[in-house]
Amino acid sequence: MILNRRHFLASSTSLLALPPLQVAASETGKAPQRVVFLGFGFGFTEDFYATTFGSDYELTPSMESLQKHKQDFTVISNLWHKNARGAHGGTVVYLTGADAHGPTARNTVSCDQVAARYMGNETRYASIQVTTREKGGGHGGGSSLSWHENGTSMSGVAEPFRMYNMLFGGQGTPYEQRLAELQNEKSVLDAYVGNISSLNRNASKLDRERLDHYFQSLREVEQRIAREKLWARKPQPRVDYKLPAAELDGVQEITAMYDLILLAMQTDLSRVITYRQPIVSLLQALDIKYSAHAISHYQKGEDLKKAMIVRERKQTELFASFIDRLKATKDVDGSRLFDNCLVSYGSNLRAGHMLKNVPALVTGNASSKLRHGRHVKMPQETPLCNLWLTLLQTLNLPVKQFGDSNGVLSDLFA
Amino acid sequence: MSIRNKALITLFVLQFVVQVEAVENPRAPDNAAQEVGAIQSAAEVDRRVRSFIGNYCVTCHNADEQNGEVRLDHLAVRISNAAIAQQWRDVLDILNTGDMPPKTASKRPSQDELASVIGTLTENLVTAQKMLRGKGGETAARRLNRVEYINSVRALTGILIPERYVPADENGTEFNTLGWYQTFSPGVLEAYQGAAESAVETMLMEGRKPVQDSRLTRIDTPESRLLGRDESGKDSVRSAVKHYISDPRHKTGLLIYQAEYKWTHYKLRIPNHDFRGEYIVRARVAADESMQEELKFLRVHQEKAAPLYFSLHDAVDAPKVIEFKALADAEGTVELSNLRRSQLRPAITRAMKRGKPVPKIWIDWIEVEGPVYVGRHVQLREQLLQGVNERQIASSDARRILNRFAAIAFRGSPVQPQFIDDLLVIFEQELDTGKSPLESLVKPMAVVLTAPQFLYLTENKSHRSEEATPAPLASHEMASRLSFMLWKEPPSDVLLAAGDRLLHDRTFLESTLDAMIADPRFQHFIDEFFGQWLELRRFDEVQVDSKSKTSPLFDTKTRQAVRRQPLEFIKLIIKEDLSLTKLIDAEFSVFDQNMTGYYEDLQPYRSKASWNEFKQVQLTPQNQRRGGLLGMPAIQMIGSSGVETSPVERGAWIARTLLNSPPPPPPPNVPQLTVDPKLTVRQSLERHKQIAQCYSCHKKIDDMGLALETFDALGRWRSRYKDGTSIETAGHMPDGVRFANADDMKQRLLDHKDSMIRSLVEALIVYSLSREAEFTDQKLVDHLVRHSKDNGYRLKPLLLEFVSSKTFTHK
Repeated sequence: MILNRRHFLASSTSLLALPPLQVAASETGKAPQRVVFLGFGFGFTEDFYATTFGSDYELTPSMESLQKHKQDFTVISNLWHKNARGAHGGTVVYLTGADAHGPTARNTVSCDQVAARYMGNETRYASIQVTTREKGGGHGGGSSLSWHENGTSMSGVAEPFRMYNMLFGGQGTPYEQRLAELQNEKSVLDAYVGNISSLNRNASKLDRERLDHYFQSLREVEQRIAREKLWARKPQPRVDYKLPAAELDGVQEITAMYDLILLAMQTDLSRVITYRQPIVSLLQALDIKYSAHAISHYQKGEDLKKAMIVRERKQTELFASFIDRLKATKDVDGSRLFDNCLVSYGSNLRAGHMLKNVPALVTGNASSKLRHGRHVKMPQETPLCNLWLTLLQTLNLPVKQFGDSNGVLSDLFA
Repeated sequence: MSIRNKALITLFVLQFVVQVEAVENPRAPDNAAQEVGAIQSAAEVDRRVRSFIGNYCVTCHNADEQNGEVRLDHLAVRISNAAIAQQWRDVLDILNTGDMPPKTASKRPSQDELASVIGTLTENLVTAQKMLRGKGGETAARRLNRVEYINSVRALTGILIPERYVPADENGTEFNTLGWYQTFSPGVLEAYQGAAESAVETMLMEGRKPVQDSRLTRIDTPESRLLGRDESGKDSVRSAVKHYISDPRHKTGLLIYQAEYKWTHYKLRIPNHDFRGEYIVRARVAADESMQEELKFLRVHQEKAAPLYFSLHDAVDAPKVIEFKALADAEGTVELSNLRRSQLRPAITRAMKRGKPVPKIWIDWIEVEGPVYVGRHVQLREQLLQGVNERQIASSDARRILNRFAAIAFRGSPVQPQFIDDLLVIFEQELDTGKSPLESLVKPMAVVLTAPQFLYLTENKSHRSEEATPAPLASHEMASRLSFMLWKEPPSDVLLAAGDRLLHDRTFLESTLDAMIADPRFQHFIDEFFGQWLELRRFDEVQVDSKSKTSPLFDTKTRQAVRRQPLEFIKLIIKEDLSLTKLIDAEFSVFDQNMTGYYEDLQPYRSKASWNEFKQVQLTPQNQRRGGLLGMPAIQMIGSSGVETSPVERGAWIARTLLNSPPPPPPPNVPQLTVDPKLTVRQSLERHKQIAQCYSCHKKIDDMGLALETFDALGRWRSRYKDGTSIETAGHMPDGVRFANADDMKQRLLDHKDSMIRSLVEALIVYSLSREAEFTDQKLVDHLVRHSKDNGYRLKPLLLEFVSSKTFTHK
């Protein structure tokens, strides 16, 4: 808890710890590695899950759209977060594995932010959080899938047009003007930060805890401004992509977000991305009249189940076409973007209220260690954090342990 | 499967000896007997759990043998810390998944034993968690929620921000006054900045002195509607105009067509418009006979308020005058329109082309009266800018303006000179970018409206560090608590001027409370407090397809009426100072014609109901089933998917709201029952009985939900299912008492009316003190329930007793 201005600034600068800019990856000739975490609430129906294992496992009808990529992804069974206690807990701890259930609980850092510590220093954005703000999408609290070291939620960008503006919107703004804009933003920030000091005296410990989210947001703004200043001289990349419309239906929204994630990687704006995917707007786009929660209890009726299957197929189809695009997109060194990515796809829930054996799918060739094309059966109740640790380690990040991990999933290796 | 985390277990075993902290059951035994939701006595819980563990677990999990590194013979049943809670959660999980005791064990519990111990353990955990979460009764800082932020900005500047500009509450199933769920992010800050800037900018740029006398403007025959239309080259437009002119009434008023897109609405430009004001609009309106009955409405659409619908059924032969309060949008307009039905459009377009008459609404004249100002600081702009040259604001003036603005906005928190210095830097920078002096004030003033001193509700807690005992509120803090609780806005000057009398003069407090309840702003309390207590949020989430065969014509205005009914009922009970037990059952209800039109069994009341307001209607004996909350479609729909009923949800709602005995959250990793289409709803739920893990909770809720099966997913009465099978409504209350049907169940619920009052009282604590109802509150809750009983269960005495209690008047 930081309540005086000097302390605040000192602390946020130390958090910044931005190393000097290194030679841009494109100039070394070799494409950088990227990691993407895709997550959503409510899981799938039991029908989604493959029941055979090994390299000649059979895809279920719900996974049919992934058929052409079958050799290029891995399905992993029997993972779970032992600390995720409530079936209604949402995706809050999906990437953290924290025990956020107890009376004094707080979330912990998410695995993408651990990756960003090492992979986020050479890009305009250390990490990008793509998110949805819809209610009833099964995500629970927080603003995105990503969580800070101190357990507060990281803000995310929820609309494709905002994401576009963030990534590519500053086209044509001269350096001096951008610098002046940032200076103005900084002045506003200074006023907020200066004001905080007067709050200290009459606040209780609990009050200060409550205000912590507010302060954390100011810190985030400050880091963004500082980082943008460093990058202001470098023009934003130009892309051949139109500003997405403000009103998109769920299918268009997810498609646009996948496009923008792809572009962000291709132009090397960031190497670490999370995407908390919408469900409610997807259902609306598919003309499903039930709520997302209602169909998650699909055991209650055939119509509910049909709707749930329509949703899981469409969602998987959108994911499959994301893989298509990853394969079709050229990276800076001429290789396929797909060859330099690790992408994880899954949910905090399996089906209904089942928190065990959650869906987990990994694709991308960023690490030669992973041998794709299989359905890997882990022992029951293997920590999902083992997968997160495995992904971090296969990217050669010096991480020994993550969350409640008790080892790596060596079964995924060749 | 094994119980995880052996380190914790070891830790626990060590701690156990020194940490047997008794948690006294705070409820008196006589209450426990009386209330369904009462917790089993600690000794009873201890005995049940120990006997189960002793019989079925300790053989393998004891001092000598610790299979899976788990030892259960020493585990304390009284949960006094998080580590013990964790152990019991593990035990419960494993019982729920059915993995323990192992199938191979020589001695296994019966289904009944298992159901009973799961029920006991679950309750024990829920209770313990509530206790462990306790914050010593502290009301902590929290952000203003949406309605409070909008009202606070309005009270300060007179400007009403449209709801969509302000970040939505993220409270989920909790009250939106609770602080702990609130998060914050740069995006949220940005949204507040945008909202604040729009309000400040409107206030500053409005530029006019508030109009001293509200004026009446009459708009006769607004022929401007036709201007510019006939010059367009498009044939379709020309023919539409021709058609419009062919109706002679266009000369004496304006026409709103049914289902022809060019003429379905009229944008009323508010004359003499001031954003800080409200307007009274009156219009003389008639509808064509040929309009379909269910479409004979005039709709008023306002950006800043829910749409209004005016019935024109009695305005066919002779025009009638309607009246409403208008809040104009950013362009200063309000939209009057028809009820559109896209299905009708082809027929109407055809008729128009052939020059045949088309059903229309005719508006003879419109009268606008206003502005009427709301909020204390309508003069704020004048106060701030007094003696200042608006075109050339000197730095010293800007400092004075900003300082004064912050001093008012911060509700008594001190304003640091450094803060004003910083705001001045922003002002200067804005000037440098070429903005006018007034425009340059917008950003720094928006910073004030997004600073924690404005954005958060805080109380002075300087005593908290030294002493543990609560300190009395300062008088302005008492005024603030009352005002935000009952009116959802910062305290008025009158309340602030009352000073200590609010705290020490009960007669004065009583008359203040009476006045606040009689004020129109008390509607916020009904909407927000009762709306959330009744969980109307769940109603809003139910999707109904008004085009589907099973729910025809369940349109927006019907939906709006259904949602309003329980709140209108509560409003009536408060106004008439009746017993709150009428919520369980009453010999009267309130309906409007939307409801009597939609619900067949309510049709007999049609002549007594009005289209535009809810009226009290005496129920006939056979319609007693519509009495009380459980007879209302809104409550029935909370327990439905919009297509199917959900007896479980309905039963759970009764348990939570009327019996104050919330069922615990569903345990994870227990597979759901798959519905077998061959089984009836009741038969499907009966299967819960066969599974101990399900039955421990479902036995308390399923029967009550099934009793309401005579109301379908939209709350329509049915005596049989669609396939002709009969509906079996008999069942048992959670305490085992039998009932024959829903009416009978309501009588049994009345036996437990104190439980409903308890539920309401606990909700009141959460809502108004922005914290959980804690164990330390139980004495107060007991007292308030008793007091309420002695005073005929009326809301006013209950509120007075609550706001004069030590819990409310201390921090």
